[in-house]
Amino acid sequence: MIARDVEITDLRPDAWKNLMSLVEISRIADVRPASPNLLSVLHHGGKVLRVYAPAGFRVPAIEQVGDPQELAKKLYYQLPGLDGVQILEKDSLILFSDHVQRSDWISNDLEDFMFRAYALAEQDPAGLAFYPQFNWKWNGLPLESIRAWFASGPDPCAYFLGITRDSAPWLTLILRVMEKKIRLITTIDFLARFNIPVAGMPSSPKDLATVCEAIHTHVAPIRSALICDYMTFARLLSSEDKRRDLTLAMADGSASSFGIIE
Amino acid sequence: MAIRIESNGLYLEGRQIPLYSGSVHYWRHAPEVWRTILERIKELGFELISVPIPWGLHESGPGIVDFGERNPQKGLPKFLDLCRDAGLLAVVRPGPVVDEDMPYGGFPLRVIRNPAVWALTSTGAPAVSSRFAPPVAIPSYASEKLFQEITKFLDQLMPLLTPRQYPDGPIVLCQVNRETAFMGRVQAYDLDYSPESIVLYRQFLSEKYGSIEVLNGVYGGRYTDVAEIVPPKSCEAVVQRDLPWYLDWVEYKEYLIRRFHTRLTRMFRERGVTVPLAIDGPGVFSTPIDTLELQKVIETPLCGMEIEPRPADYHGMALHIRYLTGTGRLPYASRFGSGQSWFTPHVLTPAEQEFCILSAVMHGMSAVDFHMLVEGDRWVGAPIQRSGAFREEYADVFRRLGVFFARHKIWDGKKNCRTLVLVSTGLERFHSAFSTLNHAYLGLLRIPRVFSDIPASLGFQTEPMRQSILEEGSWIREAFRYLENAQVEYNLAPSRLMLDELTKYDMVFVPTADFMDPQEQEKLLGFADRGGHLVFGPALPTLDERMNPASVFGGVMQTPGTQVRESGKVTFLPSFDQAADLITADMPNVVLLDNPNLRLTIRGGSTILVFLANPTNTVQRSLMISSWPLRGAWNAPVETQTGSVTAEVAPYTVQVWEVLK
Repeated sequence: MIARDVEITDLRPDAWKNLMSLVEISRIADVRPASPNLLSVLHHGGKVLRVYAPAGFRVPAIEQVGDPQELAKKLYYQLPGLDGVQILEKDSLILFSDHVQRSDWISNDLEDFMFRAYALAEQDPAGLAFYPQFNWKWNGLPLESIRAWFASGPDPCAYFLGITRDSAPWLTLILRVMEKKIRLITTIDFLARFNIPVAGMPSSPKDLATVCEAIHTHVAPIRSALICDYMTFARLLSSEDKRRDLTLAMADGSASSFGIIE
Repeated sequence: MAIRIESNGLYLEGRQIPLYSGSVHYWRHAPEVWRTILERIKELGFELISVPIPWGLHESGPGIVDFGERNPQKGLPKFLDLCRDAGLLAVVRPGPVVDEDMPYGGFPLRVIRNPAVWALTSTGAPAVSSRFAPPVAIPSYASEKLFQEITKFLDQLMPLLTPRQYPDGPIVLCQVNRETAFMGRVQAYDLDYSPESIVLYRQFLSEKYGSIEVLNGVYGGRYTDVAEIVPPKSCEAVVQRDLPWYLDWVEYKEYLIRRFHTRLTRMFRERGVTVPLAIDGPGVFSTPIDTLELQKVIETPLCGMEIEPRPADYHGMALHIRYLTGTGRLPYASRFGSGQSWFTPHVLTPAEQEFCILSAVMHGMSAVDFHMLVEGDRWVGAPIQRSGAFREEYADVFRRLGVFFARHKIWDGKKNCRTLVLVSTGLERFHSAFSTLNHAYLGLLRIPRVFSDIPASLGFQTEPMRQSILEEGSWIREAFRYLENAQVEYNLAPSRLMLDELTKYDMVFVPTADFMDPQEQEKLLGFADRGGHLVFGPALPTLDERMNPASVFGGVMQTPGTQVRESGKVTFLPSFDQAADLITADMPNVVLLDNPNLRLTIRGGSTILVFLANPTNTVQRSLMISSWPLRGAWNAPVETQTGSVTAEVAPYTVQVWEVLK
């Protein structure tokens, strides 16, 4: 999805800071919870070596691991409040590290290596058991469908996202996709190279048209664009029916977009 | 050599130039804007720039390089000539590792995909690092193939660089390599198990022990030849006498790094590099980096360190700067972010950037290279944009600081510091050796850190594993806390620091275990005999590092307390609970504070400056009592004040007061 030699440039600091806060909220590339509420059991051939539980959780004594998948599930439901349980066999951990580093690290996609690493962890259910299983979605959207969507556009094409907060510019993001991969990640500052005044952030359909025209000329033809306020975007992120909610937001004027619903 | 290094920078035939520079990635900018960029840098008050030279950028095939002949954007010679024309001096960084957010750390893919250059893990896999995007197989410091490839590149590069050395050209310093410790992979049993590395491991053992009999005596083994010895892959020690085998592996990795950089240095010199050399470490305080030995290798005190400015990590940053100040004559932050990498969750504001730079200066930084002063790829918050235009709010910080530093001759001054804390080489090696399950990528699964601990106890009186600088609650960390609460500024250095260096301090703190190098103990007692106050704890050493009975401190004192010697003092301090009166009135606290949240240092030179930092997110107030008249020089009231001064310091800011003599 992201080319290994992707150009990430002209990042307006305030806009980028805001984007990073969104990425953090949505955990775009993290299939594992960062939360401390993770119960971990280390065993060697079934004999339990260590148990690590987050503070406040009283874990029943475990001396032997029989069916690790079953045990992970059982502990998860037995201890409400846990984000996850992992039962890890020591030799399998060492093998996991080995397999990750023997995998093809020369990939055309920047994110491939890390996703492949997580996928390898799932391929040894007897040695590395996780409950619940890894989350391969980003805000409800399966990662594979996001990849497919980026790969399905015209070649080349561009995407634009603009978010306002309290009526002030808050975030801009421009992506260029060529040969089915994201090859440029930038902000509206990129347009300054072409002497296009970009002091502000487009906040009306007319502004959007102006910016989109500049992106069309200097980046690539725009496949889709979205401008909305922060609250609307946050609502869309967590929405279970994103299509319906975007349609509603466009109808009540809190979002302008094209190329998404179609 | 026409260039020498002093505590206030470089001297070019007697002319002093502060080592105050910023990096420019020429290949990321159109040649048409190079001149503009260089002018902008000068406008920010810089006389020096640093120039990374990525091998993988210039090489397009075996022996085929482009230095601007085909692609003008790769025109390194032209760029250096423009620097000279613009009146700028240059630090060049030819690698072989440059990082700089280049694919594969700057290596050509052709080179780095060759298994003959790979460092191998304990399971025989290539050690692949995902710190770089895309990931890269870490090269082995033992690989002859790697040396052959480096040689070919240097043979093509150096004829372009050496004629451009000062005084004929702008180059005044050359940095050897980057990411000095296996690209940051420093765990004991992670790497390097490549066949060539194992040969060197055995060579190291032969050099260390001299004969197989001596080695057998230490290992309790029955080897007939060193070739029979295999390196450990995890710690499984059950008794103390098992330890030397593991500790030697840890020490070998220091040897391997030193050997690689010695050879690299020689290659640079043989190809005509005459300017001083610098090197940078990955920000670790001890093994596998031996800062003092690396300084000997490059024959300059410029073993720098990478500093990532983060206001919330003020204490960590201060500790790194204190280490640079304790170990080098010219404390050099060889890569200090001017802005941050694109994936950072917290983008620095201009005010935060200012706070971080001043914080580093107040703790002793006297030389710095600002990474990506001109914005390149995958970077956010540089003062100069890619187009050559200023990013005004960030540029303003550098502009104002440049004027401030020049006005107060900041680089001529040194931090006043009479207290030193030593990082024990022996303890840190033990901490590294006594570990398991440190395999790469287990962090992805959020493996708890305790899973890497070894539950076995080796029967020590004081548990050494808990005494590493990396462990919260260790004696050395308690020493930091104690000194900071007492508002005593300190430096940090490896315990192998020479006696002459120790005697520059009044007080030295050193953490101890049941085992300790007897020569090191003798040296430390020598410090006390020369009038210093030595404080050690929590253990009274009774063994040497091969776990044989040996006690030097024990010959002086057996119980906790302070012993007054002929001209100095020795204190055995098992716990800081007993440290109430350790720091007496004769400690050099010139300015006192009543708010422990604020940090204060004094930097003396032709002007004396008092720095006051607020590393918290709330306003802090304090009474400063000074026997000197003070006047605000940065962020502080400019009216002259004497006696007691009430300071109010905004969150994450630094105030500077000038002492009026």
